[in-house]
Amino acid sequence: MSESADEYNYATFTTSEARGKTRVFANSLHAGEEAPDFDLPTLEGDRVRLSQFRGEKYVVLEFGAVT
Amino acid sequence: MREPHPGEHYTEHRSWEQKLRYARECREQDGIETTMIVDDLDGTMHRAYGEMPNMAYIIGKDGRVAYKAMWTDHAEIEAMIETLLGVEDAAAKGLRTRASYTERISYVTGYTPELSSHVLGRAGPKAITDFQNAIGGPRPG
Repeated sequence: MSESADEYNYATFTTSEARGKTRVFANSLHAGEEAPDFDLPTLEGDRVRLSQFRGEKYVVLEFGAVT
Repeated sequence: MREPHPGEHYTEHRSWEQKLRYARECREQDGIETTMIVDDLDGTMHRAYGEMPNMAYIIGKDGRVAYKAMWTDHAEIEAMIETLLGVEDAAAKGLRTRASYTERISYVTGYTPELSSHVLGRAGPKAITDFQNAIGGPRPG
């Protein structure tokens, strides 16, 4: 990864941030491609692994934050 | 994922505990009822999916991306799930479908004063100033 955690968690929203990420999104991970697996905690303390749903369920991922 | 518009009340994430607390408060404030998973502080999962702040994906039962959108549109997600379930119904009836690829531009509602006030307002005045400097657009009502 090119960004450090400090760069990823930037303190100031900028024009280049707004423009740059739309290009990143449009040029990465297309429909039909294998979705990157993840294994992450829920707020209830459980864990969710994407691959646990394979062959069983469709998965909707919506990304968000407070701000 | 990270805070896209950090401000005085909600700063950029500086620790995992803080990120977890923000996630809890986000769920409470926005009345989110779906399962909420929290990425690591480096945003490993968020980066792998393209780094937009409110993007959406549907992953098929085969583990492949069935749908991706730069901005979440719940009505479109619902329609896409109906389509996917319809394909299963067709298969159960012996009808053949074949996968095809579509790419298009969609149109979403611009940043309104109400949304600006809700999201940027709770972040703090700095978030509003930064947004104005970066993009312009309406001031919070």
